[in-house]
Amino acid sequence: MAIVELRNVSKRFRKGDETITPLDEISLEVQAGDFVSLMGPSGTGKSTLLNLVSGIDRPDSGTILVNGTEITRLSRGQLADWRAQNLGYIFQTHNLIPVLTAYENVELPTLLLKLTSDARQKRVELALEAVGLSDRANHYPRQLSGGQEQRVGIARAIVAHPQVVVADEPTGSLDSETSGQIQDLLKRLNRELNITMLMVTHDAGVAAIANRQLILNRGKFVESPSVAIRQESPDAGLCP
Amino acid sequence: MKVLNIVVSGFCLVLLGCAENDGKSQANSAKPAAASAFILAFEPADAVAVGVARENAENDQSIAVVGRIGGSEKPFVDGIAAFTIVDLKVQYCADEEGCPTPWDYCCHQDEVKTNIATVKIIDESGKLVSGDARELLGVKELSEVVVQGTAKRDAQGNLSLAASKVFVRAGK
Amino acid sequence: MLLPWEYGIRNLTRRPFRSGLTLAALSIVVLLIIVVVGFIRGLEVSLADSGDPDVVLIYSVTSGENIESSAIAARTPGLLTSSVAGTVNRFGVTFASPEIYLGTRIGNENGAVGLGLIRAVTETSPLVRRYVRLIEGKWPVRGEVIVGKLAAAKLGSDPGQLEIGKKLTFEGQDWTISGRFVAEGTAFESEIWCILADFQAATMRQDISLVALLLPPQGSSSELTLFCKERTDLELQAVRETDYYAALQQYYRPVRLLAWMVVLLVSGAGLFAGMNMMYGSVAGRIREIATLQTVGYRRRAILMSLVQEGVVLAAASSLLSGCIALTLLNGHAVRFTMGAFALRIDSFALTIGCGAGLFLGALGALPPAIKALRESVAASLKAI
Ligand SMILES: Nc1ncnc2c1ncn2[C@@H]1O[C@H](COP(=O)(O)OP(=O)(O)OP(=O)(O)O)[C@@H](O)[C@H]1O
Ligand SMILES: [Mg+2]
Repeated sequence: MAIVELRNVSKRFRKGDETITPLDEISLEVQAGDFVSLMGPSGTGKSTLLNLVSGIDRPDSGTILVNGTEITRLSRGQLADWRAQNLGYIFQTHNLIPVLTAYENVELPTLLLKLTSDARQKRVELALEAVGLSDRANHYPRQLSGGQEQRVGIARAIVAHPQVVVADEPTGSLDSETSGQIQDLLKRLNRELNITMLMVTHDAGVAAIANRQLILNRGKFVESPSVAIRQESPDAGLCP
Repeated sequence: MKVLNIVVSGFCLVLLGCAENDGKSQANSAKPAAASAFILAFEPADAVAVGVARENAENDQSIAVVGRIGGSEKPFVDGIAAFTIVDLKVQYCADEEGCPTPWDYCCHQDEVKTNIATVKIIDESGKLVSGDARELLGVKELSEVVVQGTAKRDAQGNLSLAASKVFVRAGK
Repeated sequence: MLLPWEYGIRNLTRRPFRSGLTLAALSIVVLLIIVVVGFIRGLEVSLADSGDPDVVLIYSVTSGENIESSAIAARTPGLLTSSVAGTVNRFGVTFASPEIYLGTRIGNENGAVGLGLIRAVTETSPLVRRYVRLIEGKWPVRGEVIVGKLAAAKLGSDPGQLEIGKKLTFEGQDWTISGRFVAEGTAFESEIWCILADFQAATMRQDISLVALLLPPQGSSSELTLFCKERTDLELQAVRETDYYAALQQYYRPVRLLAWMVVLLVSGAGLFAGMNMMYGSVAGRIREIATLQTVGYRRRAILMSLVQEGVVLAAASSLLSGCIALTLLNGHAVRFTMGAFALRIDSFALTIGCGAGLFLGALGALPPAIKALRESVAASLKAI
């Protein structure tokens, strides 16, 4: 079953009297449990695509269905409520709230869910444990390293148990070792929690952890011949 | 605080200049004459003007005097059926001047002094009637009335009328 | 769903210096508002309380609202006593107080001169002026005066110069202070009282300004009004003292209007201070606000949180100013044309001041918050 479905989606930007069309009538289906990576030259519309899928931006035409909901029909407020329940967003620059501790940052999305305070605490602790930061719960973002901050950001994205998580260059600003940790983490989340991942990256090595690799160029998708990669990939067995 | 005081007082002077311009004449709709024991149905034929009465009336003389209610800002006495009337020949402030209280004759105060009389309504036993003359007689400021009663003049020339009956002229 | 309360509070401590400056600015604004409203309240109360409902003033019909310019014959009290005896005489006592009331220049022993209010009275005056009570010294005799509690404020002089035994100079004569009085917060408290005959001699006046009459309980002023109307030649009017002060209230309406305008203007300044802080605070948080929306917070929740920040700061300011006003300024005497009165920091003034403060905090946060929330989330996420 397709959990993310884009049908003839176009997005245009107007800069003065010039119009850019990063996404031109594109269609895409992502199956539940898939780990999709998205590569492509800078400025081709990868981030724009993630924004459309997460409902923080709207297409000029076409429809987007996520987990059976036609999100292109929702109002701004409804989209916010929908995101709280269904979608996690991992930013390149983690975007943690500086005045809140790691724990409080992770807790933020759970405050939007109907949970008892015990259940909420459990979820936050589990999410922090999943990213290996239980011992840093009471640290403020400025007291954490870049990799730790990113892990808190990931914990925040998954704490509400969303079906879909989008990640925009999650390893973009990390050194290779930290990047490796984050890749392992994302892979585990995909496999163990069965979260559908949609990840943008510029790094072919990072893209390789996905079981489906897409390249966006001139407004169209090119499916990469990923058989070889699949065979290399330890997750190959999970692929449909 | 002192600075504030100065500013406040200064502006006060400016503002005072333009205050007190509103308020329209309210003497337009006459109430229906109350069916009171003090009302005369017919106008007495031999009424004299206030000015004339002040000159000629004898003390305790029975007399009918015609005049217009007014002479000050508040011509009616609160709590007692009494009011002042002014000779019809004295001009009251014209409507066009926009005076909120035209019955105070503010433009002709000098003439008022020698053409005003106080009217006190008395009952059969000769006692002052308490209450409001406006309600008792259905009159208001600038109503034209003919007052029937006894005159009283003092050494200073003030004229008082102890009235048992009043005729209220129709119209304004 | 709302954002946690701590988020708003901790945001205030993010830039402590800026928050501190805004706190100071808002405090000054709230304090100013409280003071101006206290001024208005003091003025209103001193006028409203000053009228004794049972006292009728008889004074010249030509002087309008201003008793100071009234001059009536000295024989007026006698005429009143004989003509409307029922109202004026009780138990063989005449409840009539002939008085001269006058504003004049008054010097003290230091040579400092101020504008003061003189009321020349007789022995019957305390019967009529029931609120006046000596708190120190004795009733004046020839060449002596008693001074009200706020007379020093009215004169703008050192209170030490208005102690018993000190000398005052006015109308070309020296007067010794023999006592001090209070009058339950009424306008009398800013006056200086002396003996009528004494003052008439000093000023070579034969007339008086007014006669104040105390009506019997449930008495009516109708007879007095009728007397004034019948004796057209005397040109008198009878006005209840409460009505007289009500008219004065009208007379001071422009002042109160102006004071309210000051409140508005000062509030405007406060609004800008609050807005300036919130604009700065929000401008540095564009990406954070977009992140909150991405997480799933509705714009209304974020707006509430930002308003909460402004209101918390304003509440702190209001508290601070309220305390300062209550402890340092309440009862402070203010000099004014018609006398002196005390600043009244009552619950009304505090409510207006603090209410305005809170309102400013909330209102100041709105435009910056709305501006930040109108941007598209996707675009705001790119902001640095
Ligand atoms: N808000 C905007 N207004 C105008 N143009 C925009 C806006 N957002 C994106 N664009 C343009 O749309 C195109 C796609 O932008 P997008 O951010 O999706 O690129 P990207 O593929 O993510 O690039 P990169 O790899 O550098 O992150 C770019 O040409 C960009 O200039
Ligand atoms: Mg991008």
